[in-house]
Amino acid sequence: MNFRRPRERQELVQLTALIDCVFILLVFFMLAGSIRPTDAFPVEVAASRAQVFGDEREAVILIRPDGAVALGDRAMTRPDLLASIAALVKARPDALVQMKADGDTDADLVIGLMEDLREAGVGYLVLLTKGVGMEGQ
Amino acid sequence: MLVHRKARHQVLGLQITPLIDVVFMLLVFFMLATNFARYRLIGVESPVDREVAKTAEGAIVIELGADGSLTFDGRPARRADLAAEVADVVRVDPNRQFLVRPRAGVSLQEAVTAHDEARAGGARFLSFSRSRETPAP
Repeated sequence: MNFRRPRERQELVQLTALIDCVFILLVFFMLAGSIRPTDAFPVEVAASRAQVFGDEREAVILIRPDGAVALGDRAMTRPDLLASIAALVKARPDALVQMKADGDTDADLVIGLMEDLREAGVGYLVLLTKGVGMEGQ
Repeated sequence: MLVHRKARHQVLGLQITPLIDVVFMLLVFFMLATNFARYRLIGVESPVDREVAKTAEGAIVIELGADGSLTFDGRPARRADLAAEVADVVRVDPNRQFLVRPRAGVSLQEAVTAHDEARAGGARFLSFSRSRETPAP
């Protein structure tokens, strides 16, 4: 005699736990990170042990080892860059200008651009570096 | 006679498949577009219109050569000893200004490393300077 009641057939895979996890991951990535801005060209920044941390802001100047410069996602010539930055700091004198220069760039070239930016009226200028031994950014 | 033999199956659960699809797509988007890396910021005090420029005569120039050489206040020194050299000066004069001056051919990474070393030695007033400027007598 068969006393066992036949089990109900499960037609669907139980997805509730999976959806819970996916939602938690989604919320985590939405809240914990920031959307990475697009750069005009890839730059491998220098490594340092500076203890001040920060993210990219609106005015990020990229410098490639061959001397090419860009403002965010727009590659441009150096005079155009200085004109754009001058217009920015004229509109917003407290604007923070960040330099994202490749570590292999000639230091003299980067410092020269720093001085030109100072002359263009930039008050707050920082150099973006990565942590020592870190890959990527 | 059974006319409605094929009665519709009762829908037991909410149709969540499209929802899961969308959530997965959002998850993948945020995973790929999110940036967790934080930069280390070096405040640039280029001595063009800063106070340090007005008193550059008193600044100690750390000059970096393309061949790996270093001169500290005009005399040759080892790069490994830079922090100790700076610390010796800062012990006597904590407000002493230092200029990291890379010669042509020195990479930004080398200049940033020297900046780090000087900072590790306790330098409070530290900035970059171009090599075209003649050192203060």
